[in-house]
Amino acid sequence: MILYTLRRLGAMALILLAICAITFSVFYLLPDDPALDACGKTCSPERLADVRHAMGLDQPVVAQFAAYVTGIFTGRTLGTTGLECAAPCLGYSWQYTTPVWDLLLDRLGASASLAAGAAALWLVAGVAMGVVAAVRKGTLLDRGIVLSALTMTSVPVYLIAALLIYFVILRSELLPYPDYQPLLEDPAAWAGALVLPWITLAALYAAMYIRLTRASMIETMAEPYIRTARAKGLPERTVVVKHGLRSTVTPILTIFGIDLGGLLAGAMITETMFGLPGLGKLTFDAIGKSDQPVVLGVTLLAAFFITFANLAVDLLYGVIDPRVRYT
Amino acid sequence: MTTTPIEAAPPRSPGRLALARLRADRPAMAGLVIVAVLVALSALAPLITWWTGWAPETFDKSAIDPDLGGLPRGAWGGVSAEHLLGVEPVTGRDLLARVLYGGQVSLLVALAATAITMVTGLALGLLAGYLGGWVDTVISRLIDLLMSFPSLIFMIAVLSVVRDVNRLVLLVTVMAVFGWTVIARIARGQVLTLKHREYVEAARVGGAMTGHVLRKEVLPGLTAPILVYATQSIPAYIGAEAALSFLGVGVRPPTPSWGQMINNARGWFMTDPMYLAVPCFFLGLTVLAFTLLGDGLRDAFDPKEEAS
Repeated sequence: MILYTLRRLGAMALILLAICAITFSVFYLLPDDPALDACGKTCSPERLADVRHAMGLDQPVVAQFAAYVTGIFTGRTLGTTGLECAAPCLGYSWQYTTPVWDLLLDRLGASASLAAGAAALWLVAGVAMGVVAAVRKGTLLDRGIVLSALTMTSVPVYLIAALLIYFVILRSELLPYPDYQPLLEDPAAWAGALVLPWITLAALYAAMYIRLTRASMIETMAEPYIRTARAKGLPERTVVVKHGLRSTVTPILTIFGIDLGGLLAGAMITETMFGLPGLGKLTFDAIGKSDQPVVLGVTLLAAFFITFANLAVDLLYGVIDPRVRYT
Repeated sequence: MTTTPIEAAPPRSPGRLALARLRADRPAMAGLVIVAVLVALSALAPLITWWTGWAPETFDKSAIDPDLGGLPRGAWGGVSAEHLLGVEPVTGRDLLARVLYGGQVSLLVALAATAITMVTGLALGLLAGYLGGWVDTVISRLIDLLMSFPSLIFMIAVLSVVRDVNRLVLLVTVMAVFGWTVIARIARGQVLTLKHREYVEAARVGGAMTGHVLRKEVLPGLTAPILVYATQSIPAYIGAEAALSFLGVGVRPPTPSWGQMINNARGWFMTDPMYLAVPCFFLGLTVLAFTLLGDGLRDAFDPKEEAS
């Protein structure tokens, strides 16, 4: 188990390094010159060369990459500007004149709040409704759940968001216009700004999870060991929850891990629609301003979440499903 | 032992069996019909716009009201005999024409991306599974790497900095780069189980070349799972194209696309909800139709489903 975890951590580090290298070289090869953006339109060639030198862009790509990677662990001074960038240094945003890490930390709260709330909502609602539909297969209730899940997968997220904003905020004024504040500073504003994004995001995923849970649960409930459990005289509730759900949950957990990892920086549309100051919005704005250090930083952070979520899910398997053995 | 002379049904191939099941599946057939209609409408967009007389780029100042900030004249976003689905605010461009031409983009991108990912994924998955060894290691690690990539962010980054390239080709390319991995995984897994089946080994012992074994013996066993996955991935690509265009890095104006129309309509949804509803309706309908069809195909090919 420990050996397995260590090996997985090693593989994770390698994958992150590779992603870092690929993203770095893609940005290096692209025609966009951050020095030109920083220098402005009326930039003389000499001045541009100075800026490039100060930003460390005149170094060979390998040297730049090495400096970037070491900076993540030890922190570094940027080019010849004398700007200090402390330990998890993911570069420096010339547009915001702030280290990228600080920007990411600043936005992570909103994204994590959004992802965690929505995930809790869709996991509970999706799995519960999926199980109910599977157990009551063929009834009117099942048909209703299946139909609404199908509708929810098809309704574009833009429309859900627009309708929610229109009816809940503008028309009935049930909620104030979203003004996100960190949880610890103003819990009411925090929740108020997040309720609708949670529902929007959760509706989309819940539909998928209902379909997944239902299909997988129907298959499980046909297994011989379920019949055995029933034959032993266990109450139906125990059969469904302890025997059926337990093995159904394992594959769903895999997908959940991947979805959650991807969501931390990937809820771009929801964040844009509701104007939430999260990582997705930061990326979107950074791309508009061709602020490459920020995009690189978000890409790496997102890749970290994805790989980490994968590992966490694999380790959790052993807890949920005793048949799993680590090799 | 009784030997009743029953008229035994002729043995049917799995493909035929699946087709028969699909035909009996009403939601799936409804999906197929909707898909066919949508494809036909998009393909015939030039003909339809010629008939209505409004091209997607033609401004119609008479259809909008400058005193109301450019809102369409008349109820329902300017729906009239002239403009069947109403017009865009400010410009007065015909929504029907724009949504049909936008459909061309969505369907083209999704189908092209699906076709490319299928071919690449199948080829690489077959090779990895059949050859094993270092080929398998390289391809499997590449899949692991691509699957850990935050693909949406990366796509947006690449799409936003690359200039002077055909946007459609670029869109399809970036989607295909990240899309082939799942198909390759399915193919690899299937090959690993098929590889040691007797009929495949018999072919190999009989002296068949690797290419022949893969094409004639292994590939037919893969058709069902790949076909099902491909159909299910089409709505995902349509959604991705819409998302990228919505975020402003997909198809560029003046070429219309659903995501782009939705993005433009965002600021108008209180005053002119039709503008948002029209592209959303087409996007939702397309996703729904392909989902129904994909579900039907999955059930039809599932050997556990009772034969009908």
